[in-house]
Amino acid sequence: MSVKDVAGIRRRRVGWATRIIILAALIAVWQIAALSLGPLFLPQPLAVVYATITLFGNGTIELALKQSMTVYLIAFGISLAIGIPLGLVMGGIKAVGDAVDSFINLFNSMPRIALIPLMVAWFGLGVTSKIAIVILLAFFPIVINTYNGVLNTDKDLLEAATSFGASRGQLFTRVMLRAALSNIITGIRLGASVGILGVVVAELFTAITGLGGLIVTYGNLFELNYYFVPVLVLSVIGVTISEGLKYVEKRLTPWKQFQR
Amino acid sequence: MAPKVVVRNLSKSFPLRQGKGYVKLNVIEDLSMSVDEKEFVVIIGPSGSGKTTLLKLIDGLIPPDSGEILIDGTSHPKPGPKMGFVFQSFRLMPWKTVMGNVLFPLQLNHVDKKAASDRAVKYITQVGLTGFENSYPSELSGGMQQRVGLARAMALEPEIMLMDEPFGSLDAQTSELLQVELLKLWQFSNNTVIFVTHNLDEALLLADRILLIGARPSRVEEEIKVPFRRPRWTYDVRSEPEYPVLRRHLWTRLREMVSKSGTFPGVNVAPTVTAPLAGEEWTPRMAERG
Ligand SMILES: Nc1ncnc2c1ncn2[C@@H]1O[C@H](COP(=O)(O)OP(=O)(O)OP(=O)(O)O)[C@@H](O)[C@H]1O
Ligand SMILES: [Mg+2]
Repeated sequence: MSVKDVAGIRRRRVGWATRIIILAALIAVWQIAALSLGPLFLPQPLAVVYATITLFGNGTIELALKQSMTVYLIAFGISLAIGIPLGLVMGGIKAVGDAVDSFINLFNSMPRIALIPLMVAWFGLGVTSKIAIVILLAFFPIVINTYNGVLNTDKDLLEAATSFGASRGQLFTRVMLRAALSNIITGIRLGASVGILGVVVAELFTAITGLGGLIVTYGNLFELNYYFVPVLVLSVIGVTISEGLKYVEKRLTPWKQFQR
Repeated sequence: MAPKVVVRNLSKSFPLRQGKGYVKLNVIEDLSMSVDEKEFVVIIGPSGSGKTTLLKLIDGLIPPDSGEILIDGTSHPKPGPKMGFVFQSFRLMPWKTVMGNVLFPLQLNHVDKKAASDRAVKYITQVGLTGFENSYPSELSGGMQQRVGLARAMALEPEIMLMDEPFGSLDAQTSELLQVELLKLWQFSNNTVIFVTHNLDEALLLADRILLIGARPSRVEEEIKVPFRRPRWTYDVRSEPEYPVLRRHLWTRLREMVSKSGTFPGVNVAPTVTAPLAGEEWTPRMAERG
């Protein structure tokens, strides 16, 4: 094992130790705050633990998770399936990019949450509407990052590949796609996290279901110990997705590890 | 011997940004030259005189405004495996390892897998990068990256090598080593080489013929045959009696050109150029002093 590896492991251990200390401190502060504010403002950590056990035990979370994740996965899948190819085509064919670019930017810069009532008017209060709302949020970061990634391919690299005899198709698949990869993954990551936000917002604005639905329900009932359970579940999902994608990015772009 | 590369009355201009609009910057004007098969021609000229532009024109990467380029008698050259380009800035794919970068042009041209990897290994060895096959460019020094660029172009085994200051960023020892390597490779393959450099000693060591390119708009100002016998790695060319005479001559001519290179055609600004002090070594950057 090289010196560098040893140093890396030590740094990671120190990282975990600090994280645990910070977590413990946060829980302590929470406990003190909960005791002084009372359960109507902030439930005690232990009350949240009991609530978690209850909601997981009686299947409430399982059902909500299924509802939320169905919406999320379908909507995110559609956003990827349309967003990435569209971004690639826009970057690869200049005429398409120029034509579509300004519309994408227009949509991206408007507050898209304002379009939720429109989605409800079009698609009703059911699953379709929720999926549309999530797509509305997740789609644009994916297209835009993919497009920019392709567009910003180093011109010198393209010229070098051309000089070695690369065809237009090869330039696209062998240079532009690779050059854009890390931007594409960034787009996916951004899309994934605003997608989670989208699910919750959709479940608040349309028929109350899923984890977002539990949040409104328990919030309105002031049952804050239960309310915290879906909040925590959503945070865990968010962190898992974003860390997972970070890991994927690291695996797909190994040359970047040494530029930090 | 048949000429491999013929350039006739070549002109090339670029749009030059001036204030809100553009003016025409004539980079190359009415340039003619010819390179024989298996010849090693070195091009020297002030910075910004259009040497890189000339190589790109010959490779077919950019079209000329007027004039003609013939490769083996055929006009309108197309980039491809017939010509190998070593770029001034290395231009390696950052996402590919050394091996991947050297294999890249071979894959583009559908060279058989086994043959390609054999060739890649051979040229990686030749430029002295054995052991670094799996490193990424970001893990290599500048000189090592340039050597990858060299191996990449050589692995294509092109008939014509276009080399744009390939050793410009290396330290003196490494570049001398690679100059000798290049001489050996060239001697045994007998490729046609067009080699751009700022380094007079490098030019005198490598060239059959040196073409001096003038300041913008540039053409070939002078042609110098280098008389030293080959192979040149078996003795020290610098101790030949003609060596200091040729070197002195080249140096003087370049200095004249640099001090003349003050005019931008079509533009009413004449950048001031400081002539090199007596005895000072000529460097390309002097042309840019203002
Ligand atoms: N694509 C381009 N667009 C506009 N101007 C260009 C372009 N390429 C080159 N030029 C201009 O053409 C001139 C010659 O450039 P070139 O790179 O050929 O010079 P060079 O002789 O290789 O210089 P150096 O020795 O510094 O590498 C420069 O003034 C440069 O600004
Ligand atoms: Mg140049």
